Amino acid sequence: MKAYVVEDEKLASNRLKQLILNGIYDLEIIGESQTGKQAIKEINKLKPELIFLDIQLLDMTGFDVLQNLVYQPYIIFTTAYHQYAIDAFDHFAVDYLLKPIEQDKFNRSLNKLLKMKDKTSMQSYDSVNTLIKQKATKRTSFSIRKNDKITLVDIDNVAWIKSEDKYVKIGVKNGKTHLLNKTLKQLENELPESFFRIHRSYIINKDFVFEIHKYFKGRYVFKLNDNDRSSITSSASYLIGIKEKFDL
Amino acid sequence: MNKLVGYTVLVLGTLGFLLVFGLVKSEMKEIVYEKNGLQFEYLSKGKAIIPTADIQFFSSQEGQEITMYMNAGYGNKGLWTNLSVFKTNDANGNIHTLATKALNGQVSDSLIMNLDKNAMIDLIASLKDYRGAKLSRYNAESGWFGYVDDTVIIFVLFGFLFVFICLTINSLTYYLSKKVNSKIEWLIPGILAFFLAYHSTLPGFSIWAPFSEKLNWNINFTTIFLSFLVFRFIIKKSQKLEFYDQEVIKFFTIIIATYAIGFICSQIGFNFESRKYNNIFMIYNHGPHPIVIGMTISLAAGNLLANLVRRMIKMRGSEKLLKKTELALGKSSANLQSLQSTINPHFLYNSLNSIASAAKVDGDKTERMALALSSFYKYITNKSNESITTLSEELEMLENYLKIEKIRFEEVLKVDLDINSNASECRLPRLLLQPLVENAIKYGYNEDGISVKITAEKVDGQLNVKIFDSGTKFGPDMQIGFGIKSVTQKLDLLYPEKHTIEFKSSPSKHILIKIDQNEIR
Repeated sequence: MKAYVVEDEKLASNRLKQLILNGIYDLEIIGESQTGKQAIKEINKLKPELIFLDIQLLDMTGFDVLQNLVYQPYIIFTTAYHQYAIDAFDHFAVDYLLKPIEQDKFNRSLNKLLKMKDKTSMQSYDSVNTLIKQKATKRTSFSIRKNDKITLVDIDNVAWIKSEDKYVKIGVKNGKTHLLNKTLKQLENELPESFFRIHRSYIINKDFVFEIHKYFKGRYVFKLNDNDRSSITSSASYLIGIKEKFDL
Repeated sequence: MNKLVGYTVLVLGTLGFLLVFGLVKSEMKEIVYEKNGLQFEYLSKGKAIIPTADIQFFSSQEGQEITMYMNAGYGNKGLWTNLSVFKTNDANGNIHTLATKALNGQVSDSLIMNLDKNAMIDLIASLKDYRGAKLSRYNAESGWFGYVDDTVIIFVLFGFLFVFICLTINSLTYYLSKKVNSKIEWLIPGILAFFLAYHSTLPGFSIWAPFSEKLNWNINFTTIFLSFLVFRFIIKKSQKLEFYDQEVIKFFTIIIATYAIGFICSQIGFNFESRKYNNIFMIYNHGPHPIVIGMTISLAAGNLLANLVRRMIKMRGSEKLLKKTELALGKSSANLQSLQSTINPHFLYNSLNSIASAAKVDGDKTERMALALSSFYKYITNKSNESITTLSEELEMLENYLKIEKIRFEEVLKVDLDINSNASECRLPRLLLQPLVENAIKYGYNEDGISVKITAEKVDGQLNVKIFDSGTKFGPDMQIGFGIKSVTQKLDLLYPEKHTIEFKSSPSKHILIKIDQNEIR
């Protein structure tokens, strides 16, 4: 069976070659590459039946390589450590090897893969990719641009986010505020779980709430312990969400 | 908690005691004067709060009887409007005759009725045996504080009112004394006490007849004002005590001080006034005016309750804040610890995989990698409780790290270090550079490979570190990964407000970190 190795470092691909040589299957390595670009070109030309594919390549990810293939080979992913990826692989039953790779595990994994009649569909790989992206693209920071300079505001330091016309204003722990060229709706899906909406134009960070006062008509006043001691009143339409979030 | 229960019982017990004893009335008949077989007796009472009562004094001397009717009610001359004097069984003396005539309807009402206070005094003064008579509670009801009904009614009515008044005043005072001037703490209660004292004798309220309204007013005013001064003194002295001790002391201070001062004041006042009338009247001992004492108890209870409520509101916030602060503190030190020790595991496993790969074919390379990896992890695990290090130490560690990466990526990776010697002793958080360099390698790839450049120099007391890489420029909405996040968190924790971190795309892509060297903790 023809096999192809995509690894971003020479030693890692050498390691795979060793494992293949010592393995129980008769595999012929017909090529290897260190970048995704080269891999796509060669794989589409050589059409190997089995590909060992590293997730993190120098110029792209293994999933990007897969999306550019014109046929469907067997795939075994390799990764050193990538929690999101491992969760996603397990979820969709996609084969993977964890580095450093042991001979036994290598054999077992290959055995399992080749015994299967049907190849894992490209759709599963897409799903894995989407899942990883979803998990990995939860916003971790806001980048604030000034000319060619970008400063980052860690999302854990953001106390509140307010919509102002076509912009949003974020309030940082130290009392500073920044304007962002985004809408609250766009942001809402990108924010980590500690953020939630309490008003048509307000999202606050739960980690900053230190007092909640009951107000009239199903509204609450949230007191935050940022430097300004911001106090923000919720609107009644978000009552249910707020109650759930704070066990009120 | 036991103390709290004790205090609650004490305070509620006192209030209950005052209320019950305020309601209890002594005998209707009270001998107020007895001398030479002559008795003045208190015969009836009227309604306390509306002083329209007929109060009768009855006297007898060896079968002779004089009955004086004093009708206390509203009138032009205050409360003391009418005095009717009748005498029976006696034929001597003008008064007696007058009384007899009055009784028999032989004199006109206008002559014997409508005698005012002075006429009444003249009358009694003319009865030689009556000189020095001690008159008690002229038109008062008996009971704990004299005008019992008033006390109770005021106590109940004003009690509720005072809670709100005190709550407002106390909060306002507290707020203003913090925001404007600390003197306000005494100014507002002072004005209030003055106002209360000033209006302590309203027209229509009973007075200690037969003495002047002015005397009553003076006594009340002095009582309230002196009590306020005592109260203020006690507050000052008790400031270091616990909250509950303080409040209970205040509560009893208000009541006891007012009663004691009122008692003394009235004694002095009435003794003084008695002399004016040649001691025809001596006033019996009694406490302060019932209205004053009623208001005082209400005020004490109101103040206590108001402060409790205020404290409860305050505590709710501050306890939560305290908890939150503790949590944050614990979190930050724990954070730092975990930040110190966490190096991306990806790197460790990749390196071990490479070592495993090299082991069979290249012993030399395997050795170098294993040793560099061990030095690198030694640096991480040793001194892990120290959070700040010098640049030269940090660079030594970085070299070990780069050794491994160079073996892994071979000729693809090019690293260039340009360290100004003036920066080598600069201080910076431990393990600050490694995540940045790892990041630069991860995102530094272009067609020609990865090239990373690290420069460091000291400029104007600031350590400037730049890490260049050859990858795609920073995007408009770049996100930070685990490595950079740990760098910003370390800087935030160790150099709050004393550092900057910027991501620049021109003239060439680099990250710039500035750390103020003058503000080392």
